[in-house]
Amino acid sequence: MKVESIFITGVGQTKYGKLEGQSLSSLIYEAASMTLLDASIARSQIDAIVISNLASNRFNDQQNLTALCADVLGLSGTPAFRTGASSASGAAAIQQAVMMVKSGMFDNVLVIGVELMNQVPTDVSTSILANSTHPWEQEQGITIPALAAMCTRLNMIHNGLTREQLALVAVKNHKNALLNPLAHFHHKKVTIEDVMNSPIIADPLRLYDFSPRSDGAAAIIISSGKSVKKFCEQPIRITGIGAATDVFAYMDRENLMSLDATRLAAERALKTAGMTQKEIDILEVHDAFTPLELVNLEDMCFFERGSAGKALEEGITEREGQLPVNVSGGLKAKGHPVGATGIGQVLELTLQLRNEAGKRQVPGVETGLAHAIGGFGNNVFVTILSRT
Amino acid sequence: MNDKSLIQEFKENLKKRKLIGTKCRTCGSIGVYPNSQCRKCGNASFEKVKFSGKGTLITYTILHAVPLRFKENAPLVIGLVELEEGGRISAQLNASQDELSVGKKLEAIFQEIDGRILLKFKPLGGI
Repeated sequence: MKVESIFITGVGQTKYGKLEGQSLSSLIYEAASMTLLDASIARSQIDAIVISNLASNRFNDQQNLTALCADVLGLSGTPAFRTGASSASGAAAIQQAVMMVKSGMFDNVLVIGVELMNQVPTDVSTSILANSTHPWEQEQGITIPALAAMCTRLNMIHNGLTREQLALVAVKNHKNALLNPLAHFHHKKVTIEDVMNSPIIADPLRLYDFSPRSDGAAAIIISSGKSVKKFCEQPIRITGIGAATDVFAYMDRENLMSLDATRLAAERALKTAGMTQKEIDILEVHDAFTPLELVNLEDMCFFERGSAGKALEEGITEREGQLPVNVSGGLKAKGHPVGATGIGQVLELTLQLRNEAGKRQVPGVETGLAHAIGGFGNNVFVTILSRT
Repeated sequence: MNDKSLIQEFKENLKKRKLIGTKCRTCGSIGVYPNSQCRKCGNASFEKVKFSGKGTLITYTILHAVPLRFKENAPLVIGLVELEEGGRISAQLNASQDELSVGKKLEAIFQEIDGRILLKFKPLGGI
């Protein structure tokens, strides 16, 4: 089924980073208020809310974010739902909102993602994030970074992926974040040596191969075509959505070197959009770990197997290149407030398509693709946007 | 048998220091950690496979950032092992960094830690 009549009519996000003195409520309020203002829509026109969050019950001792969110925004009475797909929850929330509007039941759905991760120490956070792995893996002490490291090793042996290419992903995305004032690492320039000399987290992956633990919120409004004519000057069209899951435990997958759910979700999204890879101008790719950017670009068939690293070396995926990837800074440097991340990716594409991305604007962007992963390739969501 | 009893049985066997998995009666595919449906063909009838515990290291990592309850044991050496009868299992390895290489032959050991039996692997013939 085509999704051609669904629009993004407003976006907004807080700064990502280690944010002092913020609460879930204050982050939700800030991101949602900016979004309503951006859309020039009255609160009363929001007919439903979808909220995305990974683990507020563990990070902040707070559950029931649906009610909290509606109340904070003065929208009590409005139906509110929550989606869960681990670190892809934000992207899942967007796709759920698209389906809600497409169903005809709702005209304007506010989608909000939030995570406040820095209220617990790093080792507690590591344990919370490891809960996304298979029960057997958890019993062995295996974390998502450990799975990514094992997959990376295989790509180094069989697909020509090099340690330097991984470092270059970090260097590129940190460079992009210098132009994004809301990024977690807005002021941090990173060199290949910085990455190569950073401590080993999960050999062969080092500290600078990983996204930071960020606090932050992002929101967007998904609207029907009927609604969009009334108030939005520059709606961006959602033309394709695709989602897929994979076998839960890494050990049980046939394919250990790439993520099948990424391939499937991208195929489905491109099919609903009626587009091919060649028609995509810009991408936001889930790079919680540097190898993911390269492996997933190959999984989505933007590059042949084993050649995304070379494309990176040639500058093709730089902001000024033929196919810019993660101009926002990506999860790596823009930050990764888990529940907000998938929404923040679509927000970046929306700004780029509206020609409102400031210093990091890529000229002449007509289409964009956002890719979000939950767990280690367990849930993947791909969303395609076009200028209308 | 349902998932619960399959997993219970797998864990009971580990406690007895036995590694016993499943073979799908329809397509013959072998699973180590049990799943209630065969991932290949979707059927749910299995026979038992007793593993020798010998296998090959497919890939590995040395994990320094470990979950809280493994803090005392960091770094953890973690590997993915393909058993000689078929089927894969991820586990901690008792191996030093210079003993680690993809393709290395390994054997299962059952190590008692805090009263529970942990399945680990070590280099074949090693200490």
